[in-house]
Amino acid sequence: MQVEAIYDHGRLEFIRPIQFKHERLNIIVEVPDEEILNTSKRYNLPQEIFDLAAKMTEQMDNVRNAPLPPDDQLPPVTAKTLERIEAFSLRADR
Amino acid sequence: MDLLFDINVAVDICTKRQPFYDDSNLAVAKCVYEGGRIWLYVGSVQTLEYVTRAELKLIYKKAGEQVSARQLEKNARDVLKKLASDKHWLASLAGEGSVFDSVDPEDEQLIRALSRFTPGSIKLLTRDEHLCELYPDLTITPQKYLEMPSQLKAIDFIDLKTQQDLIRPALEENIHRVLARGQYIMGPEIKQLEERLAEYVGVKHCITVSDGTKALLIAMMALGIKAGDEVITTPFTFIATGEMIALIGAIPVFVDIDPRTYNIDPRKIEAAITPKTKAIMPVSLYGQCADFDAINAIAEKHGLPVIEDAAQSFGATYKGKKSCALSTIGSTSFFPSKPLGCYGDGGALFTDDDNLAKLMREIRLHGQDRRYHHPRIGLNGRMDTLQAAIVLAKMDIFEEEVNSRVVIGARYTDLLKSVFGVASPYIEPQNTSVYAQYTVIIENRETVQKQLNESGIPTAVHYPIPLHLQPAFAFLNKAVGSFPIAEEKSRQVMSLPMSPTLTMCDQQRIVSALTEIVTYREA
Repeated sequence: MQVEAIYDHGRLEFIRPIQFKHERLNIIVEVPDEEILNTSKRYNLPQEIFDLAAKMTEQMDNVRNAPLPPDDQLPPVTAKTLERIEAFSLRADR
Repeated sequence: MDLLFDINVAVDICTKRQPFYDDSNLAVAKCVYEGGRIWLYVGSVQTLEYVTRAELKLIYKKAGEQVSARQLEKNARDVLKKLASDKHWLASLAGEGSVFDSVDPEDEQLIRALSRFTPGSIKLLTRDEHLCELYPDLTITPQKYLEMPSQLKAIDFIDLKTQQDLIRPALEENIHRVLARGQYIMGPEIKQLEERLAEYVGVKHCITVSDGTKALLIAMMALGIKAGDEVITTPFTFIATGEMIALIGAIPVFVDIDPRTYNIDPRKIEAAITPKTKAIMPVSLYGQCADFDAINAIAEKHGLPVIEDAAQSFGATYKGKKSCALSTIGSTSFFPSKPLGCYGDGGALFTDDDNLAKLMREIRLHGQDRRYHHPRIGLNGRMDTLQAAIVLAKMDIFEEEVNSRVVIGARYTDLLKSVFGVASPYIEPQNTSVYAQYTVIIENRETVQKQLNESGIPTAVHYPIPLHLQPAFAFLNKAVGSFPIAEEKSRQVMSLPMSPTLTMCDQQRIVSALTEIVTYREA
């Protein structure tokens, strides 16, 4: 379910009170991009580090966004692999 | 400081997961900039793959893009391959297996793996706040890591870490093979290494030994050198050369060095030969061979054998021939900092002489020719199987490293040519040096060393006191002034950081610092 919350100095406060089963759990929060401070403004680091980070981003983007081959040209995913993927599907590791 | 990736940070980077990506990626860049290494735990691979896949699936779904299970699989594996391409794999060890009593076995494995490192030298980079609360000294969040003041990468005098990173899989495999077989003394790796080294050097026989110092001792024992004999050598070397001559009861007869190469001066050898002289032992200092044609000609004229102390020159060439193949016996060391080093002590002897090879093999094994039969006095001088396994792994990249050493040495010389007051090493045209040390001549050495050290640049002196002035050789009664060139060089030499993996950027940093110091001093 989607709920509205207010972020206030490191804490999230739900507008509508909700009672949870557990004391601790992972939730996904939608943060407006414009609210995120540019990392270069937050940390006092040499420019070379920001340049290196930008270069690494570009390299990883190239791999991540590379066109994918057509499905029928790829090796099959076995039933065993699919089963494992299913088993892990609940884990988000956020 | 090194970092070990927790799954969450690795997935942030692979999938550009917001809002975490920027900090996680910047933390990686900071670590690389500071010369740290980033480790991926081998035991995390499956989880890493499945979580990355799941996260990518979410992204595609959110973007309304249709991808098949196979395409998703390929995409996940491609980004993981990219992620791992410049990271280091941290092997799972047996002690990290039994974690079933732990609340979180996966985290427990990562925490246990950290205990292998020097405390404070590595942290688990994680966004898991619970884990950070439990292990505040072993973990760090990307934010906290980025808030730490940035430190420029430290320069090692000899960088063995980068080399280890390059050959880690081979090293681990070789070590595990020895452990699994359990033949720790004279295991099959010894024979493999001896064959490989003999082929590399281009001689008939290689006999591995426990260390470079014992190699010299065994060589002299095989040549029958005994108490009262004289062995001609250089006073400008590490103590082991003269020490072994004295230990056998013979007398080291020093001959001054060539002022340009710092190796024994062949023009002065003949005058030192007496009826008691039984061998000449030149040292191929700093990685450059001595003048063997001249030395061998004198030796032949007087019927003397020549032992090359090639502890620093393994891989170098003289007139196209490899060091250790230039004389009656070649002797080298695999001390960790040597051009070809192991992870402890080790050494090797080389010869084309069948009889000498047989004698040296027997001497290193308590003078034994067959089990429990000892026709001569020998010693315990065998190389450990584990050390041989390590050198075998290093042999795979050795030729490449030798080439890099030549390039890096030439680059130093080029960078230093216009620096007033710093003299680069002179390499004879017929030689190639492996630059075991890149040693310059400089005035006010101690002051320069201190200032370089303050700039984070380590240096060393090879060697500050020539052998004839060492208290241990006082019995030779060689006063100050006996070997003026060796004495002068011992006051002026200073070695700069040198490794086959030294980067151009680090070399420029070293030379810039040195230039600034000497220029300011001159001004």
